[in-house]
Amino acid sequence: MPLPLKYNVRHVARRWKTTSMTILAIALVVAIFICMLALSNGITHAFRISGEPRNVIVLRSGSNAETNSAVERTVYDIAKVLPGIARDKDGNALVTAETINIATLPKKTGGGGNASIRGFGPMSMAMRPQIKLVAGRMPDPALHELIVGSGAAERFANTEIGDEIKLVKSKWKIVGRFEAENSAFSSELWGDVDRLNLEFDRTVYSSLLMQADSIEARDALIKAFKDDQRLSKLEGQPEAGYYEKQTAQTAKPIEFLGMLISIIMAIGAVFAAMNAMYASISSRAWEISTLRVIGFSRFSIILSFCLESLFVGFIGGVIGALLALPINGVTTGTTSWSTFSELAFAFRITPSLVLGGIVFASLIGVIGGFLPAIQASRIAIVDGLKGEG
Amino acid sequence: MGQVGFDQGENTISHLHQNLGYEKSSPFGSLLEMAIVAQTTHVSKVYKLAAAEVVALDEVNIVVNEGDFLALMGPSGSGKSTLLHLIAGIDRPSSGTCSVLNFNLGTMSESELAKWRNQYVGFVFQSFNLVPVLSALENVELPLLLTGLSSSKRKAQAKTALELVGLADRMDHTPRQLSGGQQQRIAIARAIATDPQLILCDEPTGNLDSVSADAVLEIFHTLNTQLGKTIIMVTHDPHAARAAKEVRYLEKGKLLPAGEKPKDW
Amino acid sequence: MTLATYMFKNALRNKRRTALTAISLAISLTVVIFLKTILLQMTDPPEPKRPSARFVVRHRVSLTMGLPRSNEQKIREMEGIVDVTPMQWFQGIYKDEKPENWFARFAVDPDSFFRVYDNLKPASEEQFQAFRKTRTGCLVGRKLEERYGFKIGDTITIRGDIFDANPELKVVGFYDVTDDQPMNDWLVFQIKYLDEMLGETTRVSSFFALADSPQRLETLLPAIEERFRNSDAEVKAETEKAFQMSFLEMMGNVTGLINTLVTVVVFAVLLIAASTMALTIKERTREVATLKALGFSRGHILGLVVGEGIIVSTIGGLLGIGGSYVVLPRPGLLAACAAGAIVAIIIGVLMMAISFILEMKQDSKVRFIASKYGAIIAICIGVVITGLLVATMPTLDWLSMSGGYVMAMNVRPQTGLLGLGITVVVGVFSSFWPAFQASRMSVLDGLRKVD
Repeated sequence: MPLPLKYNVRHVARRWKTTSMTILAIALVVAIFICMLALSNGITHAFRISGEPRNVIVLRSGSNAETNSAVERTVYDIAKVLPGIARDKDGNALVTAETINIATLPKKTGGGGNASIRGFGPMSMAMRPQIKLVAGRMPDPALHELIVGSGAAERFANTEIGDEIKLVKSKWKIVGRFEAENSAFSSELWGDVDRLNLEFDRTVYSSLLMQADSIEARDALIKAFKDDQRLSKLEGQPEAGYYEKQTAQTAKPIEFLGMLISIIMAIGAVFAAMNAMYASISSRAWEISTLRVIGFSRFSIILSFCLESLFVGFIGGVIGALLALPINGVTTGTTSWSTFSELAFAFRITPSLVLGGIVFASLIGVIGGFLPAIQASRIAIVDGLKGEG
Repeated sequence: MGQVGFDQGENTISHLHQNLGYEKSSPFGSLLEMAIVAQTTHVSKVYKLAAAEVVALDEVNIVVNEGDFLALMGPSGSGKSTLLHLIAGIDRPSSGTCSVLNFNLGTMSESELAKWRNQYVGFVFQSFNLVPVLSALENVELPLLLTGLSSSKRKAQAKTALELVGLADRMDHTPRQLSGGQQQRIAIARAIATDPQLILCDEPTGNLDSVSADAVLEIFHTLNTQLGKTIIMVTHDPHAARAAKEVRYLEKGKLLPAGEKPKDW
Repeated sequence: MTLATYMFKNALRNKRRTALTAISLAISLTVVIFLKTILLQMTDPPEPKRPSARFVVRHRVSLTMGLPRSNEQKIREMEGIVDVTPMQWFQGIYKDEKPENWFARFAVDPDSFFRVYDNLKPASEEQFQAFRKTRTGCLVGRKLEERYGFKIGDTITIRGDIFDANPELKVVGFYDVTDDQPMNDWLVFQIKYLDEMLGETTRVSSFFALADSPQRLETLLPAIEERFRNSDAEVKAETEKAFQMSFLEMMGNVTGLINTLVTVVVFAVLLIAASTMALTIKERTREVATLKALGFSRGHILGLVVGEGIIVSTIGGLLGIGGSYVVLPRPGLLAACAAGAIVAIIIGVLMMAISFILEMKQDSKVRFIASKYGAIIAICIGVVITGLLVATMPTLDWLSMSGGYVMAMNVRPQTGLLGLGITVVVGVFSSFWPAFQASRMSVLDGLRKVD
């Protein structure tokens, strides 16, 4: 027969002063765990929602990022008439040629940062539903005008509407601001593709973006691209897959660091839980013997103490999650190593991450309680009753 | 009690006197004038509980002279332990004054009291309270650590104290390896290690079988008669009380006049 | 015996508890030292032994924009310049895109490269001449020789990503780094070969140049920027150190992140130590009261308990700091120890389970062996496995173990000192509150307590 859980809860409550320190230590470890993973989650999320499932991005084969790809102007005309290309309500093919340029711009915090300046075409906005102009207007292709993503506006100086920034040769005026759901685009500044090419002395585009009618059409499109002799130097891939690959370089180190530190600190927390449980058990020897006399089995004693320790861990997990929660949505930045430019992103705590943290903490508790529980079950009935305390 | 081990008799005691004669000023101007070791005047102690006040001691006046061996008896709750604690300076009276060894305890700070206890008072507990990780010798040496004596002198003095209780051959044993009676004798050695004037005991035989109790009582007797220590012992064991020179009774916080016992005692 | 002896005996009274606390402090300290070492390596690369007069000239707008090669001559003509060399970051992919196969590859001009990088030396004059004369030749740093076992005559194929070119390079020799600059994992090949593959004289991402003295840089750097102002490629000229630091800045607030982590880790271990210290003192209430009755003052009690806390933390601290010094630069050893420990724990738990089951079945003899010697058997097997792994495992480095994210780990003295500081802080602060409470406790309450 198992012992009622209430028994353990009351015991934990009775020694709350010492237990609370153990709980808080576990909570901190869980908070580290959740925050570090929220950081890498945020980066992954930024890249993940950048890709539209039906979009195909075309780069020079061999290059793994827009920044070092080159696509000739002629390709644009070939692509427009490929089968399976989606069209907007006016019948325009959803194909756009874009360039990515990197420019060092002054940051609000001082120093300079690499900003992605995207040259975009008439169809670009339509193909990226996550992007919405929230202030100002779209740039005039005939003028030196830019719109700025909300993430970029937060990090770079002189990016308010009406401000002017110098790129390579001339000054560009900020005329609007867009939001992009924390995707990688929100860290970019956008201007007309041909005007920007002139500014950056480019004769070719960085990439070609095409939207297919459906997922199936998308894969067919990629294949058609591959088979076309005229396009032998180019390679199409799903836009979602392209961004997914970028997470590896940028998010993985943080994930690695986060997991490493969490696991090592978890060992420390396990030891703390063990100490607390051993102490609790040695002061309850008499009580445990009594339980055994009453007829509780060794197994139910083990179970009971493991549960008690799990309970401590669980509380620690919940507090740790609560400690970590305020960081959700806080934006920060790093450099995306594949594009070599600043990436703004927000810490992202998902329900599954919170759950993971609580499970992690409960595990710390159970592991920490296991050996003491076995020792408790070993207390001989006679020994416990002999000594009065 | 042959096995108690006072075979060396006089020799040991004079040795102790020699050894314990470290720089410690006597609380008394001259030993000849000295008579009163402890005196309480109108001492009361009231505990405030949640609902009511409990009077533990009620206007107690007692005088203990040098060389006395006083047993305090009484039913539990009579206030005998409280009185002992007040004399030891580990508790303070609600009213009245406590003067011990010419010190007015009421005017002393806690740290002054601690230093004073270390120098002038030895304390023996019912449950021995030895430090389990220290050897017998180290336990006895513990209070000497605060005296500023050199390491070798401390050791010598602790050894002498152990010889006095007849456990010199057990000095490297830890408390766990010793019987209850032996442990209590170690505790007594610890109490006399600093050569205090006054020894206070709280139920020293309470946890002992009668043979061990007799050995402990005999040590107290020797300390009292041969070394001139003043001893105040709280006990509810009539057999233990018989070892004392004088027995006083308390009842419901009041000290009964000398020679008087509680009615149903 | 002295008070210190007493403190020591107290600290070792509950050996299991002290060991658990000390080990958790030790591993937390290892984490702190690990993090701080990474941070220092990034933010504070080892200073060159003598101040460097080397600097970088690159496009003002960004590194991705190249500079015309004709700039080399223009820079060379400036006053105070000793030498200039063009360097093109080739990047590319070696084998696959895994981070552990990532290392720096540059297209360079052999002669001026070694004049500007006067701290790099070809392994021999013959190898240098071979590098000059072999069109597709390349030199690799010693670290790469170690990591990949490159030999003279090997062919290294790099797939271009930035460039539409896949150079097939022949290893003609190695170079050594004569100071402690982290430059021993580069591959350099002839820029002429790159030009040839691309069919044009390529623009370069940067020129590295040497001035006649470090003091010269103060005036020289602005002068160079001025020289190219309003040209079609404006430049930024900066010291080598500033150039390195600009890469760190790109990582975002790494310093903040790591320092926050360190603080939280220290706080967590403080709590761990404090909770055990509180337990310890609580269990000793009666003894503390006895000490007070014997004449120990508040100050004595405070000192005894804080002293005990410091002893426990010092055991853990020395273990952690010593361990970090031994294990962090040798990831292979760390991995072997971790593997050994995991095996030992698994065997220990198994022994425990066996003895528990046997206990149920009353087979007392086997149970005795399992429960008495279980831990020892487990530890012995763990040690043996660690030893075997150390003996047989190929040399590992952090780069490949971490999947390429962590470079060599050499703990610097200031990091060790930080560890010592944390040890003392944890010792004092973990024990102060229980010590304070114990010192304030009334003798009577303490004596009355029956634990």
